[in-house]
Amino acid sequence: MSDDPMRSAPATDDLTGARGGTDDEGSVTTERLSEYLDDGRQPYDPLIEDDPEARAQLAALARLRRMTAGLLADDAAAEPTPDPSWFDGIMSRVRLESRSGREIPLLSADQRSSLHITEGAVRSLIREAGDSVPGVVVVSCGIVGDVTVPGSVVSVDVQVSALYGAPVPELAETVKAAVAALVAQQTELVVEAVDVTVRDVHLLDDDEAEAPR
Amino acid sequence: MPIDLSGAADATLATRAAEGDERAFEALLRRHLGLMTAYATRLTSSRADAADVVQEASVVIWRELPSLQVPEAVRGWMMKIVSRKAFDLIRSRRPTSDVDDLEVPSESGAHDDPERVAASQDAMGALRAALARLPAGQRQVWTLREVGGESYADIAERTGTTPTVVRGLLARARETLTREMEAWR
Repeated sequence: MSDDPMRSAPATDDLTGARGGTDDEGSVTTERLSEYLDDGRQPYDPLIEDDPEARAQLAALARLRRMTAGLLADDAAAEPTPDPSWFDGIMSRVRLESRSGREIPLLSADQRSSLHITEGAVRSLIREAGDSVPGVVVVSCGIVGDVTVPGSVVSVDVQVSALYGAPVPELAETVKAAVAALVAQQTELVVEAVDVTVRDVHLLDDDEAEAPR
Repeated sequence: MPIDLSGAADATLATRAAEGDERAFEALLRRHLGLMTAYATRLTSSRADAADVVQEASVVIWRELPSLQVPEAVRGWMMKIVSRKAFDLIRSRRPTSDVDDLEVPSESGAHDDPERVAASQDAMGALRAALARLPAGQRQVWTLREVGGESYADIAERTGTTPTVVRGLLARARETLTREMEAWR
């Protein structure tokens, strides 16, 4: 969260003290010191650096900031595991708002009824097919073309992350074959091309865990 | 047999969830639930309110994921939604709330949680205790800025005040906290 652009934005308010960076007695304000800290003590400000009192307060602010960085992670580590029913409550509300996308017609033997599969369900199949290839995690996928017209020719776009060290061309070919096979088997889509892009490379789970669980 | 997504990168999970993958969303939520709950608890000073806030925020996160421009930044973006929902709740509880109300010193954080008071043997505990002693308005503004990394403009909007007032509250909070943390050099 340190990449917040506002951190380095210049002060734009109308506090006289803040604008000059000093209060009525000529001491550097805490706000000016905080901004200076945000900017990595650049550009060098002799008004702060040559004033022992300001430097001491700057050090205190820096220490406070270092501690703050650990505060929430520390709180989070102490959080009890959520009640499963509470968590399920969230997920069932999420499922009520599923993103099903376009409706893809299916051939029906019966003239009076119509059958559809949702685009969301097909995307799910594509993800499943791609994920089934060892060393691959699907990142994004889509169906390009007018799927709402029966029999129209479409292409499938799959973007994946490959395990670090895995042979990328082989992986891409395997993903392509797996996706084409599953889509052909489970839908009536006429797929003319499966385009696979390896858009990033990932490490094994253990190396990647940067966020607290 | 679906693959285990619990180790997938945030950006991967966010992109998949934006495209409708509920399992990816669940993995993303489980990963950050502790932080979201901790942040909501800090903002509302109530564990029960925090649970409500996180639940509401989670549904909003799911709904708004397709509009997230930078999937790598999903965690910070989720935290901003948590603070938005926290202040929706705070506002709904105190319809007449203004800056003066927020200035009333609140010890609720300290009273809620005896552990938090007892924990002042260490520096982190001292910081917690000092935060709990801050007036509620200062504590909220400080938390939004220093913990949530939110902009002055966003903080002003959340708390229904102006960036100038936000700067003032923030400066006072920082002064008090650095003074109280003197002993923990």
